[in-house]
Amino acid sequence: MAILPPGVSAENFAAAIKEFEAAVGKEWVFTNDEDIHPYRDHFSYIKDEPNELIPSAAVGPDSTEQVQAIVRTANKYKIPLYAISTGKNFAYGGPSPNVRGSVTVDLKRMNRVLEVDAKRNFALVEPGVSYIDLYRYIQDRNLKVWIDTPDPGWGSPIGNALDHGIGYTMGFYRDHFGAHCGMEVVLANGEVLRTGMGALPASRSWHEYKHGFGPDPAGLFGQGNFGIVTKMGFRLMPQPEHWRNGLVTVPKRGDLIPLVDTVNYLSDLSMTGEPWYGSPLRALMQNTEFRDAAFAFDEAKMDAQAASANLHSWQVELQFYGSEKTTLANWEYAQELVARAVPGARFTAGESLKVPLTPEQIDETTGPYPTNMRRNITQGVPGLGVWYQTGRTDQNPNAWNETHIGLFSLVARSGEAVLKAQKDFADIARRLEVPTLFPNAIATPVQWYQFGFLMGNGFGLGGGDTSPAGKKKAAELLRRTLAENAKLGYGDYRAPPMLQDDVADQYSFNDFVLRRFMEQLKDAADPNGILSPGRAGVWPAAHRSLRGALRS
Amino acid sequence: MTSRRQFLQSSIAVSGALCGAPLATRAADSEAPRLRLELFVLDRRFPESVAAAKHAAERGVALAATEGDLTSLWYHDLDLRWQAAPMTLAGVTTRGALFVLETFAADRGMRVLYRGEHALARAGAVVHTFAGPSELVAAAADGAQADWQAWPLALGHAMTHCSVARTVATRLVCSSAAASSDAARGEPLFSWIIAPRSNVGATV
Repeated sequence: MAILPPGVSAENFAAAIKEFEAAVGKEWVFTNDEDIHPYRDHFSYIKDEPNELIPSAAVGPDSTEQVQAIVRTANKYKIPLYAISTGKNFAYGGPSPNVRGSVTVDLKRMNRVLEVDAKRNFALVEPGVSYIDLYRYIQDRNLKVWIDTPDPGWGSPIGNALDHGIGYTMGFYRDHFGAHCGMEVVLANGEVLRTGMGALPASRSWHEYKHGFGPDPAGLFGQGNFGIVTKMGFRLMPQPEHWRNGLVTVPKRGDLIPLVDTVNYLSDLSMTGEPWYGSPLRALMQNTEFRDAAFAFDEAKMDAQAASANLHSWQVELQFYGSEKTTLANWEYAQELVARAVPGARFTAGESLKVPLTPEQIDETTGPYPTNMRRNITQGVPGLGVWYQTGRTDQNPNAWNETHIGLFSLVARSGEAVLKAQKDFADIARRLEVPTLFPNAIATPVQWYQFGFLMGNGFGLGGGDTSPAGKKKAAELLRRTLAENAKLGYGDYRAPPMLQDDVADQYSFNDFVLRRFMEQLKDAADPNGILSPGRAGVWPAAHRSLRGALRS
Repeated sequence: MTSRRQFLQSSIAVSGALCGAPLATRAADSEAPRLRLELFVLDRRFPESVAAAKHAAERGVALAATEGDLTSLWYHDLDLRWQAAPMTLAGVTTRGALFVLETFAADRGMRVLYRGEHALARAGAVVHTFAGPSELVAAAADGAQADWQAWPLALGHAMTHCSVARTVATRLVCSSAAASSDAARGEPLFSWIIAPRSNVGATV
């Protein structure tokens, strides 16, 4: 099927394609259906529908100069571009653009690791480099630095960071955008900009001081549409000498509050890596009576059953990085603080291992206590095992997950907020008749991002129904859930293109001043609206009429 | 150096659905070329996978054993090999493992040429859904129906012996009784062949 960019004639599109071919070589411009197929979101709610977000063409530059040429041509013919790197982004829309008919700028050929400095602890990479590539580069050279990898590790550090992705080691490094340091960007007019100290031509500290002087525009390029990032620096964690972990459990439901307070304290002093919260009561969810109590928030009944099973209400697994002595000291200090705050807390020492762990130690799944944490990601080792989880689940028994079926909402980093969010999400699910199993009295947050919690909700909306009607119904429920969540102060951190307007609609403070400001900037910096129009709900004037169009 | 064709498929080219191309006659495949399998990926947790792999090994095909997680196989072997050149490989694995390989294969100019799903049905039967070159599919289906104890072997035979055709793809559903070991398996197994896109056959 021939798709044209919106408002572009077939003649002009053909002329633009010729210019793209001249810029990158004919073999790197893709226009036929088979070639375009990989750039679809194969998990889309609107797959094969007339409004599916399919590009009109794709172009694969090999250099910043080629990206500049593509942008200039796009400006000439007013063709929207959508840049992607080498990641898969399966949970958030894959490679599909926000505007049907955009030209995808596939940066996979720009796959060079430009620099890794294991003394000053940074890397400089291009968008086509994957976490696995960067890990291999470091291992091959026996450099003593770690990457912080998402799971699975086939994505791009640049793509993941720009989408505000996260990892699993120490807090600073887990925030992948926060841990970037210096970027090179092709702007909408084709000029190349460098952020931070990169703006000072003779600087040797581009990847050490990201603020430079004056306002720092770097944030505009994260989940943004103000430029195409062609190089990006990242701070790397020095390889520690030792790693150990330990499990803390606390008996009562209300004990979550002092537990979170204590872990926040340890975490913000950089004494622990990612805390992994859970509930030992999950073991009782097979028991119908307990399960009903957990969904009904019948805390007296839950407590009674937990006591008879000799189970505590909450747990957190802590990671410690450093030397053998310092990790032991931090673990002992953590025990001391929690014991002081929570009477009856129990502590189980985990593993205590010299770094780097051997492959056998990384694959080891037995330990002093059961854990759901995949060890490789605590060690900055990219893996693929997370795809175990894409099979049948209780929530999706009839088919594997073929749609985006969940929301991750920001929740304040306190026990009180978690206990309230459990009830809020459950109440919303009940009112909207959402077929979901997640909002219940033992749901726990993830602390990928150090300074805030994310809690899953809205999962299971599809109920396994991947028919067009089932997907449409699920999308509508997700939109209503987003709106209800926002009324209570919960907003999402990331979304697939078809939900980005809906998420952005919730960030409405002072009559949407943030969005109005962004769009004012967008119109000034990208007057033809060619760079990823609509991304994260920021629409240029040229395409602003498309805001919310996917809701129909 | 990444070729145009490798790059082309490198975003994602994964579809859970089987193709619904029309049935073709076996005669159409009779003179088609045969694949030279370079590797067979097995999941040692499943006897069916082990049996099919054994058959492949007896035909001289190298084996790669996994237990579901393909990280080590990818990092230490396939990533390096596929950087050099696309290859032809087969396997009997879970859907998750196939998903990972299929996704990476698309990055490196390869595609799934044959795909079989072997799902447990409630009535104690295994329902086989095959898609791929018609001769291969027919042989796999024949084997599946002939002897429930031997379907993995028949599958291994079909995957290592049958020809493939440039344009002929077929889809076929049949069932066989479940072996006792199947009861322990909670999810379907998938048999598959991944081959260079420049090879014969169509993506399924």
